[in-house]
Amino acid sequence: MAAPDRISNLAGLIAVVLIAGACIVVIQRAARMSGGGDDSMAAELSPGAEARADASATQPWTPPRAKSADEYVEQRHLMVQTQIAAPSDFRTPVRDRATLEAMRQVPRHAFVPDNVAGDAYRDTPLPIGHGQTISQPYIVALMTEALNIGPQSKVLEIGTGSGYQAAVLAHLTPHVYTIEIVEPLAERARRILREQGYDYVQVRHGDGYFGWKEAAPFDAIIVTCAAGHLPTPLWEQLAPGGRIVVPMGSQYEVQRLIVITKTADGRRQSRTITDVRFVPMTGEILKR
Amino acid sequence: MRPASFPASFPSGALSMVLLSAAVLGFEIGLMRMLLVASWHHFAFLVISIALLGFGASGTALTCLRPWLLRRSSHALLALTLLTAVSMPICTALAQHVPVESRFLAALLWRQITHWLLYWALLTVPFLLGAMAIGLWLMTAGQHVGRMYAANLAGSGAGAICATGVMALIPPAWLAALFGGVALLAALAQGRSSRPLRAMAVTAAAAVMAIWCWINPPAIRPDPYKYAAHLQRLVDQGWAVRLERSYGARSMLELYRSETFHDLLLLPLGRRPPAVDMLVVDGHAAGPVLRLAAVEDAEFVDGMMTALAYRLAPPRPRVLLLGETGGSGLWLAARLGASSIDLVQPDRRINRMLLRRPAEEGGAAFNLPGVRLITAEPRHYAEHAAERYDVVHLAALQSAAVGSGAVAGLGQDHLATVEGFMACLDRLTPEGSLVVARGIQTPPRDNLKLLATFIEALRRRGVTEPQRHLVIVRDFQWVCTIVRASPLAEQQIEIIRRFCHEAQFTPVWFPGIRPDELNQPDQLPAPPDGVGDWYYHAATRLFSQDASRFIQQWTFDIRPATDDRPFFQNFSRLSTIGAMRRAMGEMWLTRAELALLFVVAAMLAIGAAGALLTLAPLLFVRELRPRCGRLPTALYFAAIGLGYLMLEITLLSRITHLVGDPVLAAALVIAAFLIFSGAGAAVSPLVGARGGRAVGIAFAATIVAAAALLSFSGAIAHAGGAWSTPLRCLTAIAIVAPLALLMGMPMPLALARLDRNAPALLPWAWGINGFASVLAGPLATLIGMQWGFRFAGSAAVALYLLAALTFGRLPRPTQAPLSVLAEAAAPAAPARDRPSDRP
Repeated sequence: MAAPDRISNLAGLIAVVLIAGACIVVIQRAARMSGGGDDSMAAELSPGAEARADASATQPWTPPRAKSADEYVEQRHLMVQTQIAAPSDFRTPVRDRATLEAMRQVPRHAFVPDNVAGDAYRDTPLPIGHGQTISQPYIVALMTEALNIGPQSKVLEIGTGSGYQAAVLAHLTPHVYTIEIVEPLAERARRILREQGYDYVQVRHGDGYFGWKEAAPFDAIIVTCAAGHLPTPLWEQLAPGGRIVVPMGSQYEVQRLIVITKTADGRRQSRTITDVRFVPMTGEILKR
Repeated sequence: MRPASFPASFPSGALSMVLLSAAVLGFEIGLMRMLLVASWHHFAFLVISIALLGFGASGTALTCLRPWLLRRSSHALLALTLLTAVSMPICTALAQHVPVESRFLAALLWRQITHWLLYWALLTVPFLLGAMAIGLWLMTAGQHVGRMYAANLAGSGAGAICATGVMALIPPAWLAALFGGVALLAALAQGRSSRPLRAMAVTAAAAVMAIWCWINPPAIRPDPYKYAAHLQRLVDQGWAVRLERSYGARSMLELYRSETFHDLLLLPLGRRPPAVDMLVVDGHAAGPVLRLAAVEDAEFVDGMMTALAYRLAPPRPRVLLLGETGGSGLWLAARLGASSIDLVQPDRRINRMLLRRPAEEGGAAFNLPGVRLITAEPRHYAEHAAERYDVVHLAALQSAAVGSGAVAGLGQDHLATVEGFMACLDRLTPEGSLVVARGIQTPPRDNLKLLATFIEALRRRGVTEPQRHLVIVRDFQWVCTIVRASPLAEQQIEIIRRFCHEAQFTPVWFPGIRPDELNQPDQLPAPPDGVGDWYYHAATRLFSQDASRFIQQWTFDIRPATDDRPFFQNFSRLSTIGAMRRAMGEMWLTRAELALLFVVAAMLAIGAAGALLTLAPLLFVRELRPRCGRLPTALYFAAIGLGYLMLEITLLSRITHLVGDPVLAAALVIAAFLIFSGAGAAVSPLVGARGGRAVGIAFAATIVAAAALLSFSGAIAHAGGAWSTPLRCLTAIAIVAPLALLMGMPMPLALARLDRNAPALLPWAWGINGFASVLAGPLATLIGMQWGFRFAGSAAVALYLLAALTFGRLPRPTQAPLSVLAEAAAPAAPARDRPSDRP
């Protein structure tokens, strides 16, 4: 091939790459603008938080540093290292880096009652009052990873509880919406999230069965299926390609996660993630 | 040594004894009811052991404090009776403030155990005080001891029966105060102290109780994780309102309304539930009552998993709903064109409440043509109804059941047994189907146990290929199992395939299922061979000749439940706890299905407390340690202590099957054992006077009667299902009475022998018997859960045989008196609730 032909081929290639890149940027900006905050929710945000949330649409977003992040640092790192990320004979390690980093940063002890704060980083759920519990750290990490969210994702949590899960999600995306039916818990979670610097997390006291219509569609939803079925309003508010993660278990413990994906044609596919890879037959324990 | 004063007036003493005994036993029954509402049903069995612990400890206390008490018996009696009265409401209220939790976490374990010990210690106090008062009465009764003992038993029996009646009238929270009031009346009728003193003391005690109840109104604080607590939170927020509440011996029934109620099991994706009210029984969600006015409004049921049974049924099926409470099962049947719907619900009050519903709030369902609401126990109805049905829906077994059943595993369910399922299969037409749905658990357990029980039921009916009669489908949350009366035909299999495809359900099993049909669209973890999911794997193994080996290897107990071992929700296997601990770390406590572990722990804890309170003083207080004769005495009194209560609990299971209601059964059994054992104790001197031969005959009759009852009570329970409730209750009493009469003799016969020949051994005997009685409750439950109640009953019979053999080794007249206590009259027979009653 002659030199001028090579040059023109190269120029054409560069032009294609530039045009493709420009198209991607335009599409992303358009997506951000259509999924932006609803004016009716503005009252839920502090002015600073609103500014932060809007800013994420135009520039790379970094989560805040929690107010109590300097406490129990070593315990948090150990928790991530030994309970969540470590390879184990029975437990599937969490590998997503963003999730692991969020688990390292969020001060779990700030979200539990004082009388159990010393146990906050143990591999166990803990009671938080009003008949509710905070899930064990590994489960929180597993659910966060299963949601597969990024800074542009909009995520809804049904059942705020302590607010810890919402805080972890808030390290991955600024678009976090969470609903709690027990009023004292909702108030408490809102207060702690604000104190810790997560005031852009939108907390609502309400019946989570009906979701958060004003902010829909969502890319990911966490829902506890206490009603014995998957709530249809939540399914309707899930964007195509989105995921619903349903932790199944009792109030004290989550035994498995169901990840339900909405296909492009609106049908359902699900898979179950168990926290323990345990073959329930004596003498046979599944190992990695 | 005789007391300082004799009973001033026998009739008033007897009246006081009757009232006090009624108060103590009424409090015991009332406490069971309160625990049913506040906590979980199956803690109630511990109330029996706690009562016995109190009684056992009272024997030791009386023995140790005997000289002091006898010197001031009148005032001591008054004080003990008043303390009993006051302690009932106060200790019950204080116990409710102890933050006990029903689920144990490793991080909080010692704190939780401490709370439980404190909780039970508080509840033991009224029994300890009441038993001390009763024991002191008997110690100071002199020549009237036999009549006072009869008064004790009569009062106890009356207390049990009255408690059952009173529960229908007053809130359970007030039962402790009520029986405290009865104990106050006992103090007033005492007749030993001066009248002015009595009046003043009773008035003061009544004032204390009234002030306490004023400041701290009796209330039941539900376990924070119970549904009742969730409802209370909604009510406090103004988001729920209680529509109705009624009390009964069977249950406390409530109906709530809230816009936040969306509980509708099995609702297909894409459907919206109607407005529902929630029926709550003893603080548990019993089921939604749908607020629908017409069948046309029930389109949400289209696509429910259980609808598959109707697709396989002939047109216009006849439907039986066992245990339904006006929820989706009824509307599903109506919408799918059922020609008749029989809805069986055991609680008459629930049925009355459903029938009172306005038409637009669900009442219309009961006016649909062909709908009948029948009050009957589901098991009894299945066994004795004449009708045949095309669809039998086991709504009573329908449960999300997600997560460990924990102490729910202690509950007995006579429908979910091999015999119960056989009865249900007998109700099917040749093309009929049995259908039940339960939530998915990880690892699987209850659906596998259900399947194993169905397979055994089919095999016992002569089916050689149960796999041809079974269909299992699921989604990501539920498993639906259908059992057909006849093998599935090809066109029915095609119906199943089409149904699964349309509704996006995942097939697990039907004859001819292909590997490519498995585990999609809802994927569950696969077994090592990678084919399908664990449910498919388990099904193939359970159909094979290898089934018993598979059941043995499974981590949880999935042996088919039977009438002899009716613990469907018990999945505990102690042998697999080690593996689960290694795999699940600190969370093993909440995953390991704790029912059995709970019973073992309760037995150890109660045994330790019993040893401390009843045995230790006898071992370490020198004056109480006789120099010889301890071993045969210990063997004998331990044997009858264990055997008595083990037989009582075994019979309780059979009587519960006969009567249907566990609280009613407990009241009947306890009352009958008391009264008739007391009668046996009363006639025991006549037997003893006739010498060793008569005693031997009495033992032999006891053993034969026990063996006969164990053999035939199951058949009686089966036959009695068709009878009315009063007739079943009378039958229960008639079953228990002869055996209880005979079982009332061994203890007083031996006590009389010790009293004559070695009175120093009496405290020893008393303590041993008390300790054994305390252990027997959880021990009998443990044996029943693991090996069946027939085994527990057989063990009890063996213990009575041991006692019979040991009786002759008890001290004889040639033995010299052994201790300084020999000249004292022995403490007379124990108070009520000692499973081995004494004169």
